[in-house]
Amino acid sequence: MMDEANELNPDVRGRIDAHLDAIAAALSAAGMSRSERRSITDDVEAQVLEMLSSRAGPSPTLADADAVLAELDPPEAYAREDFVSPPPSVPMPTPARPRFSRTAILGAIWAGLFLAILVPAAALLFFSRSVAVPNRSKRVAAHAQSRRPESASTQPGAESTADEAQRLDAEVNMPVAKLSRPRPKSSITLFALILFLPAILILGATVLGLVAISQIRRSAGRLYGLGLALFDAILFPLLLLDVAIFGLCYALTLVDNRVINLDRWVMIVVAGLTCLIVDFLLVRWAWRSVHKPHPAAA
Amino acid sequence: MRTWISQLRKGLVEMSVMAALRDGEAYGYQILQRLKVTEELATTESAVYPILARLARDGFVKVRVAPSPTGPPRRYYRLTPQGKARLKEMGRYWKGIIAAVNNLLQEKTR
Repeated sequence: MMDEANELNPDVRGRIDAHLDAIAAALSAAGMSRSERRSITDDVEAQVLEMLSSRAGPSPTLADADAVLAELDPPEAYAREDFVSPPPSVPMPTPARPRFSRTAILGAIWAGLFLAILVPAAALLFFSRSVAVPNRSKRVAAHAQSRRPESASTQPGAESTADEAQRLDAEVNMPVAKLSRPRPKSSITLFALILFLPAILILGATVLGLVAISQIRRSAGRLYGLGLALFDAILFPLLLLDVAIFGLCYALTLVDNRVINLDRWVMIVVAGLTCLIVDFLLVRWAWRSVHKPHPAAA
Repeated sequence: MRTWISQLRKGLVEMSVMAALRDGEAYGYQILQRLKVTEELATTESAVYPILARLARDGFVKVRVAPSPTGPPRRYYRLTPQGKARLKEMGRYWKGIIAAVNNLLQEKTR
């Protein structure tokens, strides 16, 4: 390969060497070491010969050489101080270590609270209602027993049997609160908590997840935890969607059997599979969406 | 404006050269060609070759000399593990700077 370079027209070779020598002189005047000067001039020479070969093939003329050298930087350009003696090195600031998104963690805690609070509260409410409100048939029997007179016809001023039956019937059908013991206040409070707390937790977890996703994408690597943030953001919407799918399928089983004639368990299996497929597609779409580069971070 | 652009690009040449070597080794002229693909990053040999020499001296790139069909042997440059780590640090810092400047520009335009 060296022979090809030496086979150049002597004038062409001389013109190239002159250019390289001028570069070496400029670098030497700027204080660059010999090995680095050699390295730079070797690279320039390789580039010049490749450009000549592309332009004029194996036998370039002096005009070709001048044209190629005219495209390059002049030798004086290599003498710029900022390239031979770099400015005093400023220590690169230590980048802050990436940390896990706290917002994503908070969202996960809210989602966990939903299960930790709601399930025991629902169980507590169920049992407290069972104690406070006795069974209706037992109420009827107990009330009738307590109100049955010893002998209606022998007591002076006693009601007729028909009137008494009518009165008993009206009392039995009175609202439960008037017949049984009053409902404990704790049940009412618990009922309110059961109704509003889940909504707050669901909304909170979802919003925190969305905020965490936005913060992580804008952080340019300073925050991580996109998986957990996405989990927070889509968990409850997906659960609600699954409930809706099951509800729809359940409603279809109530339709006249002439229209839909499928066993209920089959419908449950179909609903379950539909939920799995829909959830998978939505999670995949969401995952791909959040992993697109954010314009602000790029 | 031209001076500002020139200063900005001057500060980015080293990172651009190292980034051009991220996907594999290349010789000097090849690196210039890779940078020229994006007009904003196009730079000349008087900027690139001294940087390559300095990177080799500092151990961030390794040089392999191989025969060339067009003349003297070519010097192929490849990032060393230290060079890759340095490029990663540069990239992280660069992203932070970009985000910070973008936020500043967005605040100013509100």
